[in-house]
Amino acid sequence: MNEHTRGRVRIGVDVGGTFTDFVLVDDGAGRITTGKRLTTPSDPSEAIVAGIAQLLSDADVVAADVHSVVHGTTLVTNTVIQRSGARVGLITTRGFRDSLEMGKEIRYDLYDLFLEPPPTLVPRHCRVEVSERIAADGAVLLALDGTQVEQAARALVDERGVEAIAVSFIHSYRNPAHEQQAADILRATVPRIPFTLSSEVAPEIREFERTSTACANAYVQPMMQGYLSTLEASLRELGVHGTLFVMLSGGGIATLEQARRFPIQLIESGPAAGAMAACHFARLTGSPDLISFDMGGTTAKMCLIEGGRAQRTHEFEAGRVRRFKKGSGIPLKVSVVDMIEIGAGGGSIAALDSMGLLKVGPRSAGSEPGPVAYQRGGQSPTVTDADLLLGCLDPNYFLGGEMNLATQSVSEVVGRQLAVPMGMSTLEAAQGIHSVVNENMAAATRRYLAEKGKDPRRYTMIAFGGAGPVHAYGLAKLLKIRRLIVPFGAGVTSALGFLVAPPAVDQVRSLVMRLDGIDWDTVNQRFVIGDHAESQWPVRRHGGTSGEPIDRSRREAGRDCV
Amino acid sequence: MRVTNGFRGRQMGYSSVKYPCSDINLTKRSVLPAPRADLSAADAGMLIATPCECGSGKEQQQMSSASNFDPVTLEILWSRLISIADESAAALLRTSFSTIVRESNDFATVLMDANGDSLAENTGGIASFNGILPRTVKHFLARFPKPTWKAGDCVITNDPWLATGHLPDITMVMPIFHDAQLVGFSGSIAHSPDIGGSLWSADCGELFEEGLRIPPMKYMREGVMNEDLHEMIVGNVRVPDQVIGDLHAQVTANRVCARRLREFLDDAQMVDLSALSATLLQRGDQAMRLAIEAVPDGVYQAASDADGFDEQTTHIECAVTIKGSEVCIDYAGTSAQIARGLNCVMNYTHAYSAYPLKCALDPDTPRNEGSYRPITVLAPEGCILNPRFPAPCNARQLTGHLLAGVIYKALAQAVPDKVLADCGGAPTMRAVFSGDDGRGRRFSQILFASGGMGASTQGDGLATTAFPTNSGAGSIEAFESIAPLVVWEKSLRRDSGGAGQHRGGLGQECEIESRSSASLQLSLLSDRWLHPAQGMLGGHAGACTQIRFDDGRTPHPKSRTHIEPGQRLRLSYAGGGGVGDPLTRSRAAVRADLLDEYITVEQARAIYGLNDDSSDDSIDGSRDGLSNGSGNGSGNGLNDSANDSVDEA
Repeated sequence: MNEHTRGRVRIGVDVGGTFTDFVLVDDGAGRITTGKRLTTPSDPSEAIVAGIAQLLSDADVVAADVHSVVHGTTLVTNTVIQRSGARVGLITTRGFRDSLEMGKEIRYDLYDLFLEPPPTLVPRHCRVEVSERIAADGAVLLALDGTQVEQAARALVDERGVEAIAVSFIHSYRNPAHEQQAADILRATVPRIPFTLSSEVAPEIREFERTSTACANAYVQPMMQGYLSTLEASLRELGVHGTLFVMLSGGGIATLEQARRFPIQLIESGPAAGAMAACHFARLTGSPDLISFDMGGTTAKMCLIEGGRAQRTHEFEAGRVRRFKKGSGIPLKVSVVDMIEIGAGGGSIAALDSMGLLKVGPRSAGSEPGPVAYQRGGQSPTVTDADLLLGCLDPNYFLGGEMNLATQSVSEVVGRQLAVPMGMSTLEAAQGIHSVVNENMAAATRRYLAEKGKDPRRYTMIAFGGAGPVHAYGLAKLLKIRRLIVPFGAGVTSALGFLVAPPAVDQVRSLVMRLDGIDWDTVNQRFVIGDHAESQWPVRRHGGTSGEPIDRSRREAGRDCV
Repeated sequence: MRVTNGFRGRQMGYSSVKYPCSDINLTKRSVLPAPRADLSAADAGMLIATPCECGSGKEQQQMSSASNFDPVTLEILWSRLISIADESAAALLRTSFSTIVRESNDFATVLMDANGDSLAENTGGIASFNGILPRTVKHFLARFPKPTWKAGDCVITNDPWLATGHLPDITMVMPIFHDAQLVGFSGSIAHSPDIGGSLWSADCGELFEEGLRIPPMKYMREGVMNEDLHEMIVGNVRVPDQVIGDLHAQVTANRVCARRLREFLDDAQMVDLSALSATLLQRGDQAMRLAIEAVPDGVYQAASDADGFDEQTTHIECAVTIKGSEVCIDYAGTSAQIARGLNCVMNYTHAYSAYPLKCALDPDTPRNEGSYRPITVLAPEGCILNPRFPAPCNARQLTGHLLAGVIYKALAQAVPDKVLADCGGAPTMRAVFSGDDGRGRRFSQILFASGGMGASTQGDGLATTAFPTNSGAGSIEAFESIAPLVVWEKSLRRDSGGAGQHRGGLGQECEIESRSSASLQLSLLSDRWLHPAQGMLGGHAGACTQIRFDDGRTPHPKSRTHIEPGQRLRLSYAGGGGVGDPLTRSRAAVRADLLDEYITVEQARAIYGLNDDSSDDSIDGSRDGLSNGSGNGSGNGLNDSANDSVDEA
């Protein structure tokens, strides 16, 4: 440690489903230190705090030198997946309390007669209708009956025991007046209950998606507020007094204030970090057009980067009842990095189907029990097991030597469960697993690119994540990609993403007009909103993650037709 | 801006060393560097490899040995073919002009072998379309023999008898050549935004009123557009830009499919598809046969009735014969064809018979032509399920969607655990509004909404979800944005799910007001007014359809009529059938349904036999403070709309 170090250390933490990854950047000394440890699902801050302590010691810096900690978390996603959020009440327009439950009225699997419906975060008996109605053009058709809002709020809290409230009225994206009136009434009537207005969290057309986003935000809010406070306190205890930032799903960095208000925007913060890291490497290597390939323990994520930047989309689906089935989850209107995620990771399980064909994933052994090689009770052959047999992994240097891999039992399991029934050698079966998972990822990538009208051959691939580099070569070959970049420290690249992403906030608004009669003045006015609102961008007051004041900021306007 | 640039290479101490590794062959067991805990600036760098000098691939050599595919190779090749069909679908979606393709997903793409047998279909495509396309190609091959097809040809048709059963669906097929040899066909079907004629209605007397019929013709010859045909189509549709835009999107989709198949053959070092096709079809066939063998042999009969048109009730007779590994569905005894648009051509009858069988018996295997080989479907010529030309057939879904229910009713005698009770959303119910939007523009809006699905022995039916179709619903905010209509209610319909140990899915209630200053046209396509979705194994029927104006008048279920300014129309969608005796339904489930107001106290007591003490809060969820909050009976009480009683049919 030396004088130059003081206040110049930044830490990125990526809490994943299996591992929590750490990157420490010492700007003074020009050094990077990395670390990785198993995630502690019951209280993720445990692994974070322990990991940071270890990292500080490895890097030979003291806690007081840390200027900032940027982190991304799967906590919001997991709360939705495990249905462990708050009890939420919904107040909505008369005639529409069932939009949330009816959704898009489709079957997400064409052939499954017995499919489980997508989750509804707020049950019908916690959804209350009040008299009010705004028309598509924003005119008030029926004034809000404030007494009904008051009674609804009291009843929801007293009789249903709700811990958070969402308010979503029809056409509120066009005219939020009624929702704002309702907010005033809620503040007065049930002051201790946090609430979310649909017109604030997702001011966009389509009542199901907007209502769903408002309810999801209310659902994770009490838990996230608690978690962020605990984490902040634990870091203080450790002596880290730098600012704590979080990464939003769209790849921007935000303060805790923003995170507490709209925690749903953290839903994809981990995956976003990987994409941000890839963008950084795109700039660093002078290869602006990339396909980033991030393969971890459970999933693989592919993201298109053009001109050194990842595209964003404003639709996401969380908490799917069938994880990789589009339409089986809760739709959210949240800015996320536009990427595709499929069930192909180191933990993906290989098995023979009813026709005797070799299938890999989407079922995953996760970290518990994990691949056979981990010797934590896993009995199903996985991609990691195959990679071990093929010699792609060093059994004596996994996790930097912290975990020994059991080659012998892997060989037995792959042999017994796959090689013998298929009439192949164990090594051929392992090669089969490797090839099939590569083909699955190639198919998903082709489809993802085809939807954008892109040809994979034009791009360079950058591979990272625990299993990324091992599979990148085969995947690139299938996609006919000519150039492959594997950054060192590929296993913790995502965490690096936290330290290279800009402070940024995305805002989206809807405006309905016929294309042949657009009033451009009205359209342009929509883009002015962000300017006056210091409060909407609190990150400005704090400066960037490396401490320098933000003297310049940039607004980017984009338009999309939906 | 400093911050958006993030940290830079120099600042970070990245040395940006590039290691030229031109070939890392995984099969050579090379060891890649494992992540290290301490990566210092000095040795940080990047590994850059060049994986592809395209074309060669040692691991793919095994694929060239044609006839003997191991389980790994076959899985890889099969998944690759499906991804080709998916990529073709993505191209269609991306380039189409109409909302019906983009929003309602009303299209499909299929990759076929040189015989016109389907090998792969796009994931999530319309099941009936996927099943019919190869049958259409067989007709094309009869009209244009194989040697006459040239690269760049594109054959088109919308003939209901040769293709999908009504004029708005357009089928386009192109040949795929590889090394000058015909190796397959790429095909697509999309619902055109317009085809001239009578708009979407059920009341035409013969086919010719329903729109323009295009017999199998070359839309393109060796890549050159057939201008005469093009002009003919442009001159006969209301929105030519959208219609032609979609046709071009279909051509694009077919071309993408062809290009990818050629690449696939090159990569796999195959000359043609014949060996792979034979293997895949055999696997599909085998999987279906295994599934059929699991059903006990026998002849299972069932019948079903629907409203039909006025006095002409639709009666469907169905005999499902299971014999070993084959199944035959025979509709002998079904109503004769009628002079209204309810007739369902044989292709559609076949598709909507095969699809429910696949769902019930073999849902997991990827589908191809082989899946259908063990299935035979028979219907006497001249019946409503196999009408003679030129019977009107625009609303053929009102008949075709009923088949799944009657087949399941028959199969329930053998395999009750694999089927569903009748669905309230079969057939679909549609209300089409059109007229002036008040700003001098013509609008046409279809209200997409569904009744409830039937229950099964596995669980309750899904609310407001259609089967066997899957057309979904759109946003009411979007609906109101382009039409002078206000939807005052769109909510679950209480008590509409057929009672049972497993309850049928609930239908819904929609109330729509016209805010136009002029009268608007209204076309209704509905059934189940008199014939509810039947229950199974002692379960009750779901509630019937109802449509009425606010003055109490009921319009004709399958008519073209009007809605006047300020008038409100209330549509009640049918519920699904229940399964099992309602008295055996878990009491907890009955109480939960009551708490959520899926059922009324009256139904809980009278039909489910819930006899909890009425002072117990748990029985009477609907009468507690929440629902009664400000209830004063004048229409502004909390949730009063849900308290409207629903007429049980």
